[in-house]
Amino acid sequence: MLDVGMLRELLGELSRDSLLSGASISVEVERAVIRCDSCGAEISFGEAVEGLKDEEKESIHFVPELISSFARCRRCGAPDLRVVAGRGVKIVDVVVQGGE
Amino acid sequence: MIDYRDELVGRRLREISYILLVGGGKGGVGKSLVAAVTSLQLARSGHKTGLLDLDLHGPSSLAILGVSDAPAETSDGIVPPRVEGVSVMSIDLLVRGRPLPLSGSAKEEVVKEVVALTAFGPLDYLVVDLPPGTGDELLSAARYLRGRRGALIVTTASPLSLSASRRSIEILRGLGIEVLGVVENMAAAGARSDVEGAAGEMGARFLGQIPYDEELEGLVGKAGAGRLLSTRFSGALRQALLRAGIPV
Repeated sequence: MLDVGMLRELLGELSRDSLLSGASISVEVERAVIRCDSCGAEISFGEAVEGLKDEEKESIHFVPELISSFARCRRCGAPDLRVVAGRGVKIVDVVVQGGE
Repeated sequence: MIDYRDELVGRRLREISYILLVGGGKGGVGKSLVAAVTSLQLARSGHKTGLLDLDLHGPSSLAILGVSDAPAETSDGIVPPRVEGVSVMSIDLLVRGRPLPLSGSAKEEVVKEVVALTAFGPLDYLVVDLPPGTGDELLSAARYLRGRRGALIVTTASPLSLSASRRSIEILRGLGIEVLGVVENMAAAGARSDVEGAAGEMGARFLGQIPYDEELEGLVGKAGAGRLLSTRFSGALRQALLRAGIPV
């Protein structure tokens, strides 16, 4: 799980004395959602990994798609699980104002 | 949208001098064994070598090389275990023998994540064990494993395998990947090769035959990776690799 406070602090440090100095940085957290493509159920990431062993959660932490190897759909029991939201860290948009 | 992994993938690949893709259209023709033993031969020849198993649904590199060590987690990423000088990365290090059901887009994410995460460090050669077919793993490998690269095609003399190899070669070339040549595996003793003519029709170089080696079945995963180097399979593969210009 990403530490949002730490991310904000590091972005602040990295942007100091750079082109981004003084920029407004907005960090939005998207809720992770897992979808079962077999029955269509959508559950939160937390629900999907509930009851898994620590080392299994660790593998999923590295490669989220591995959830289909360890977890099962809470509704139909299928392993056909897919991460549909909340995966990774992405720069969604950059807006430059008043630049020359 | 900017994906932070793109920078990381680029940084990893700048440390790799050459990427050798081992593919072929059909399953069960010995691609994984060719990839694993090629890695061992490169390492024995003094090259810094990594092996990346991208057969997400049937990874076998760990079993072939007898790898049982877990990868090390460091601040730079996952450092793969080493065997006989080869750094081996496989999704099986993370799923530990469990099946991995994945659909198309998820496969691309896994390939990208594994390439971004794996800290092979500087390598002379990264050997990539591709799954059968021309699906997401091949396309993702072509997309993310850029740099100096070439492909080795493994086939048997079976018309089905040759047909699948022909398709693989066409796709690889379309993706801008040089085909170094075609290796015939599991060749019957003393048999004249039909693969040589077929390779010529495909415009690819025929690299030679590897005879069917009964000894291998008893050795794989049981006798230690180093023992694989002293098999007839390894000797014939070495000649094929040398013909392809791979310095083993």
